[in-house]
Amino acid sequence: MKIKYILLGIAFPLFYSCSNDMLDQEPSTSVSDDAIMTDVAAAKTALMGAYAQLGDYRYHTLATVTSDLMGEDLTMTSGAYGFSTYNWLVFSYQYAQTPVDDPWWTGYCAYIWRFAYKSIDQANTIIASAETLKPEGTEKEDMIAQAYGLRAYNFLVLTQLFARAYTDQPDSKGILLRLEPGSSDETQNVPRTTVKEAYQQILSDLTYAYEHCTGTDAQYVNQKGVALLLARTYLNMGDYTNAEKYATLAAGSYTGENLMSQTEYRAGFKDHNKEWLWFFNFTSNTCNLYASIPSFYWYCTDFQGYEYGAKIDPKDVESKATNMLKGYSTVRASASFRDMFEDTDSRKLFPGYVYEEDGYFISKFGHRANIGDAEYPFCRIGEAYLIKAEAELQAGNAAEAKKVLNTLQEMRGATPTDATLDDIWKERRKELYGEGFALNDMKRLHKPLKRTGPDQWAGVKELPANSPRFMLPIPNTEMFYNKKLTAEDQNEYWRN
Amino acid sequence: MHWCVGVSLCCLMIAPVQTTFAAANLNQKFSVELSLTNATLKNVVESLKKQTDIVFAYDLALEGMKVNNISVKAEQEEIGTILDMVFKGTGIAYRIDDHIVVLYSSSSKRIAQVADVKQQARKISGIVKDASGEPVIGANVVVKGTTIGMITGVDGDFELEVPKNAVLQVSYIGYIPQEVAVGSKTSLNIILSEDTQNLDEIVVVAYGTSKKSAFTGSAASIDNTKLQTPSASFDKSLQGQVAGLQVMSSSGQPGSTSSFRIRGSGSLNASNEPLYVVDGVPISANTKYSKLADDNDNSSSILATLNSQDIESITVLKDAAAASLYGSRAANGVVLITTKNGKSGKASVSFNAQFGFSSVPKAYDMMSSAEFYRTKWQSHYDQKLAAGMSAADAASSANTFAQGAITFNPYNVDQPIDANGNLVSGARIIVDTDWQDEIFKTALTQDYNVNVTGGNDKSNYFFSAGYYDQDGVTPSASYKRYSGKGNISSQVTSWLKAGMNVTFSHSVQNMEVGGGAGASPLYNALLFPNGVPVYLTDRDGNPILDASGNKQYNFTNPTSLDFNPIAIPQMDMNRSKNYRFLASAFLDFQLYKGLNFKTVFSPDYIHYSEAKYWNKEHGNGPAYNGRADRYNTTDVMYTSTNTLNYSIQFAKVHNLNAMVGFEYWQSDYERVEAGVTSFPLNGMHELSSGASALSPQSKTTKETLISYLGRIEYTYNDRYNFSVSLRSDGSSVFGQDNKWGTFWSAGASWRIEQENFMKDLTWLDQLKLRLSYGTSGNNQGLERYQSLGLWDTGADYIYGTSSGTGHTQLANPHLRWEKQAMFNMGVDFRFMNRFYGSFEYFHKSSKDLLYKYPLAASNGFESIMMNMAKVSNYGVELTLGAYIFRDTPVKWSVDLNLSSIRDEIKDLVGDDQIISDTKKIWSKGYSQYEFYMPTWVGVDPANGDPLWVKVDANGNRGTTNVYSQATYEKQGRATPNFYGGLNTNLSYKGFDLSLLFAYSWGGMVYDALYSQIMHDGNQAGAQMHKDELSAWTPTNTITNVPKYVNNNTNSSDGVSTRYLYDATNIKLKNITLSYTLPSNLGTVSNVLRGARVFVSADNLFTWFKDDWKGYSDIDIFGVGGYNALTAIPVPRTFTMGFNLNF
Repeated sequence: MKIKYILLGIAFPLFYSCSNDMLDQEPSTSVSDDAIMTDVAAAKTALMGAYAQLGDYRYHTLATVTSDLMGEDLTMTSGAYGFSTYNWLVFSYQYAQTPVDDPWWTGYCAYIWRFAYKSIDQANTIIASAETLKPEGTEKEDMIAQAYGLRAYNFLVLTQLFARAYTDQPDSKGILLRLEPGSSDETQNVPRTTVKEAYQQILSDLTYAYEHCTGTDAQYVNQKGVALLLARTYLNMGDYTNAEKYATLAAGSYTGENLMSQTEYRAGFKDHNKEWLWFFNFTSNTCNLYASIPSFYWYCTDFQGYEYGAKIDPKDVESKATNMLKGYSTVRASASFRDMFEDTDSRKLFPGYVYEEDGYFISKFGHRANIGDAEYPFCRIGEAYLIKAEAELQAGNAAEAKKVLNTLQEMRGATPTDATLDDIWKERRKELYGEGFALNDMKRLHKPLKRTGPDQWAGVKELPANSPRFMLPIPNTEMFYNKKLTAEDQNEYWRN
Repeated sequence: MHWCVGVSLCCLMIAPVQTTFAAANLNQKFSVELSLTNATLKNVVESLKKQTDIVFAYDLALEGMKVNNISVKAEQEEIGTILDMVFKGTGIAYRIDDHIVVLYSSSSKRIAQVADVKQQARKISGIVKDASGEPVIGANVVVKGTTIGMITGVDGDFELEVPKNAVLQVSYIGYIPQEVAVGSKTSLNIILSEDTQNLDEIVVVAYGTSKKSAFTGSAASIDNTKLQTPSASFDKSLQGQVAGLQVMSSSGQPGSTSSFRIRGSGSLNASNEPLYVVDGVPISANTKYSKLADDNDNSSSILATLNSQDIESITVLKDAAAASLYGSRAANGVVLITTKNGKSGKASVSFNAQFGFSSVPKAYDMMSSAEFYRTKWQSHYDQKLAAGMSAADAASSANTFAQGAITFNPYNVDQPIDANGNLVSGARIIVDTDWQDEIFKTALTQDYNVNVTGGNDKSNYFFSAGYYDQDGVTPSASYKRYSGKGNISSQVTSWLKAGMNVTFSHSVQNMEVGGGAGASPLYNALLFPNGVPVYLTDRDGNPILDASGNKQYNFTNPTSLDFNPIAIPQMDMNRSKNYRFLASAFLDFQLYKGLNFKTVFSPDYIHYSEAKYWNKEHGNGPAYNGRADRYNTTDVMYTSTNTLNYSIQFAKVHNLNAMVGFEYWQSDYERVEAGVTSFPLNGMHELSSGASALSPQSKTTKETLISYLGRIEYTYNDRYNFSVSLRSDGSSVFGQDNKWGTFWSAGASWRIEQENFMKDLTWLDQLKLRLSYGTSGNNQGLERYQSLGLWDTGADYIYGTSSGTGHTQLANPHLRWEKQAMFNMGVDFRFMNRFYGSFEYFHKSSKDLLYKYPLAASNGFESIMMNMAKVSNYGVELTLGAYIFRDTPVKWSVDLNLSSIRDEIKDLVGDDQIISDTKKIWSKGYSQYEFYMPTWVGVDPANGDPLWVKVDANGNRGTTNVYSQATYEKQGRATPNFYGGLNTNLSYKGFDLSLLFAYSWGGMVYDALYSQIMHDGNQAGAQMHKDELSAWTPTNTITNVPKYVNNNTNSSDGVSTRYLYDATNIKLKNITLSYTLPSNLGTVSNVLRGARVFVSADNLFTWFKDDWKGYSDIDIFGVGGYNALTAIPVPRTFTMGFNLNF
């Protein structure tokens, strides 16, 4: 019988071998709020995360290409000539986006909104921790400045997509200026402010970033890049004095030597160079692959056996293309846009087409090792030249405007032209297509939408200037759950 | 269990033997005090007989056998315990045969002769058989009022000397006792009727067993004969078999999971799946182990690691009295799985094998390539004509367009349709690929099992090995499992019982890519037009061969860039290997009479080793120049359960059973991921072959649960039963402020038929009333660190070459388990030994529900998990059964179950318009499965526009042709009004025919797949259903299909009631015909103790009330009736097999 008690003695301690401490478990792959808010090194990871959110294809790709496709220069394959659309971007091109996020190709605004505000939340957390972050020093200062810069950039993108132009109705509905970290407290929800207030916040954030950024690495928010963003913002606002001032601070000079060479331009945007003031550093590991921007264009230097820009037999488009890397390849240049370029223009990157109704392939965006592996510019000096030209013209210095514009044109291989407002707009289109400017320029300059030619097959071909359809709808994910919004806060076209 | 005693008896007996007999019930407890010195067996037996009325049978030759000194004192002990104490070390062994104790010499195995045989007047003989004519071996035949009797032999025969006017009492376990007057007959044929319900049936309950008659809770048991399934896991076979249990198989992917709903859905965002307990050990039924399954919209069932052939029975605990002892894990009910144990007696070997053939019986009816071509052509042609183009140019443009849209010209000529819309002469179709037919194939399932069982009075064992191999009905899906099991238990000493139960399984699952990914063969089979060829094809429709003379796959199509659903599954790899080791070892000490301490230690080791490979040529791989990934996931869990149990009977009418326990559970989870890209060659799958590495990842998490529990059960006079239980759980997943929770239950039952005033109602066999109330919790479905504010590191947050973090979760220190309270009332009845049934009503209210409280997206978050919502579920369950023909050669029985359950949201803390991504709205007073979408009106006959209801500001109902202007409205529940099953069994001689129907009445289902192929041009290149041919045209204006337009953007395929159906269906789930060899085949029976052959068909036929377009399997749309992604339908399977017992 003794053994019975010995065995029991062994078994019984199991009753006592646990304690409450075992109920406290900490994660191994996550960082706590506390660490992010007190430690510069931890906060820096949140900053990197904020950049990463910005580069998510559901934000960066969709917002950028949508901006271009809602203009009149680019078009898409209709899926009819052997190039399926796979439904990507068709509903942007057709002005058929809705506030609902399902089916997802009709609900891009919800995804753009989601990732923009995620990026903003991370920037806000860093900004809100300015007092508590340790150690003090340049690294901290620069990090906080970058957070301001990122927040402003996000606000600017959202304003351009979701609100009217400042030059149209500055007191109309703007965006939601969320300045505090996310919270489950509904009383902290923010209302929809005016366009004017949005621009004031953007200016305030950018100014902070301009004054405090110390880094020079162009993959991060830096002083020169911020200067160009300020110039862009002032241009949007019609403040030409400041636009000129910051464009010049960004560009340094307008002699042309700070621009890409024609060879560099033709090589297909993929690596940053002296002209790129701020770019997104996609790597083969972090790029969006088929969902990247380059994937929606068509990269090849030419088609063997064909004259550059000629009609290509469908069976040859892949076999005869040189240096091709094909993604979805659904975005095209319209014939009307192609015809705006002289043959000598290095920006005329349209190696061929399949059918008249299908538009021209665009080889502006290249890839490195694999599809989508390409850096992407947010701020280029070329834009500074165009802002300078426009600002000088608006300030009454037509000669200076023409000089700057002509410098850019010559550098690109185009014949110098006059510099009327329309010439400058035309030049912006030629210089910046595929970089997300088309929609905003149309709104800012009060241009109507006029799509011409058989390759513009969308149901929507013409819209008047300042059309309410130039704004994306505020997504239902905001409209339903933000207690500070009413039905009136939805953009006009989608109000029931 | 009782049956096996009977079986072992027949093995030991060679000739009929006579026994003494008197009416002592051996199921009661006895008190004995023996103090004998130099005793013989006779002395012992006489002493025992005096004190207990136990009847002994033994060979008279043993009477004088010395048993030496015996000193035993026992109070209120089981008979077995007393006999163990008395005969320990005496060389005497015993066996309990229903009413008597048979003693024999453990060395000689010589069997009983009669103790006191009296001289009788007359000799009679007879045979005892059952209704089907099979001899009943081992039946007791006793002359009423005497101690004269015997046990029947292998042929059911007996021979007795009886007095005048004798009446024989014939009894056998499982049969109704019978009295037969001998009269003047010398030879008797006695037929025993099966007793269809044994009132003293033992049911497995939480932390132990209970007599069914005394049970106060609500539970349903299914034995292994009803678990036969062609699927890898047992869960798929439970559909339609248990009232209150809804089972939905999410996919026909071999080895995939099912959804269980026990009594409705009490949770909104947490899991609604029950807790699974195997042989007393709560196991992980986590479905999130497989990263491959997650990535591929597929599933890998951890329950499939259990070989269903090793399962003895399954008990579903439904109410609080039954389940709440599992505390914070019991809210969704508990599924107790009991595996097979060793059976005493001569070793028995059983082998079974089965082969099944599966196929998908019904597919969507798609357009032929000519029809699709014409649809594309016509729309373009009409547009161009309207734009002023000449008919000839428009026709030519439309031909180019259609060929471009298909990405292939399915005709043999360039311009197959002329300016007048006629097919040009000589034009013929060269490609018309039925893609569904291409990807679905007939698949073979093989299942082999062998087990050995045996034991003696002290120990028993069960060993089994199984091999299961199921090929999927799609190109690369398959599942293989190798499993082994051992159960051993032994009465080590009189006070210690020990045992061990070990299961090992290894499975290999090849996963089909599901969902809407480009790599999903099902998705592609729906969306590829018939004009896309499988192989590269020349203008005459002949395959273009490569240099080696082989056909070459075509990867060009309009819907999935660079995919071919036949080729990619062969070129890529999604292989998941699973290893599971589940063991439990126990020691059971008898500390004092009636007082036991049991400690169980159970490790559960789960390991997934997964490999993904994307070839560098086509599909997803070229973006990486080939890519390989490895995921290793390990979860090591252990449970330590320690219980102290005390049971006592006093004053003969009071039975008390009390238990207290302590339990600790923990899980250590770890996942490692690594991947490489840039392969120099195709066909190399290893990480070492890739030239560049992706960032490796790892993750480790831990969860703990500490529990204290207790239960008291009391029975008075076999009539009134009461039980109470209490459990306190501390869990690491909850917020800092809420680590501990306490749960309790109380239940009572009343066996009305035992009351004296009911005794006269002899036709009434049973009438029992049950009542219970209790609380439980739900901690499932919560992430391990859900209460903390988290910044996750991970690949998504890397910027450039710097690692980053993403703010993925807002902190909520108040987070806690969900609370649930359930009231249950039940009535069990049975009469005329022929009809039986039960009726139950329950009301379950759940509060503090984990609920993704929606936040404005401008927070950077769209929700936070909070304990806020309240829901209730209530309903009735009815089970009815009848043995329509029972005591005849042809036997026929039927049982039916029906459940009607409603769920209702009671509170959402101010939010009353939560729209979920499954097209539901959550609002107070409604089901959480309430569909919410625009109401489809139809087609405007004037212009072919789609029309939806639009309710204006004044509430007037009008229509709109703009989808985003349509009004969202409630459209009814996804869940059925009632559901259940009907089981019927017909047998004759050895033949047995059974049918199982599962039915579901009411509820809605949204056919998201049909919506994708009825897109009216909204999806550029996608294939269409034949129904699209009836689209609106100027000459066909009365139709329900809008005008077809190429590159349509009218969103007529947007979510609306256009694709919502009544989900009512009846499924013939299983039909089985089997033949069992008779057991009296002479010498054959000496070797082969039993054999059965069977054929069966699963999912043979499904009837739909509505005009259902889809696959016969509606369950792939899930409990919520909505799934936008494709899943492999559960196929129809024909199976044949046999069991052999040696």
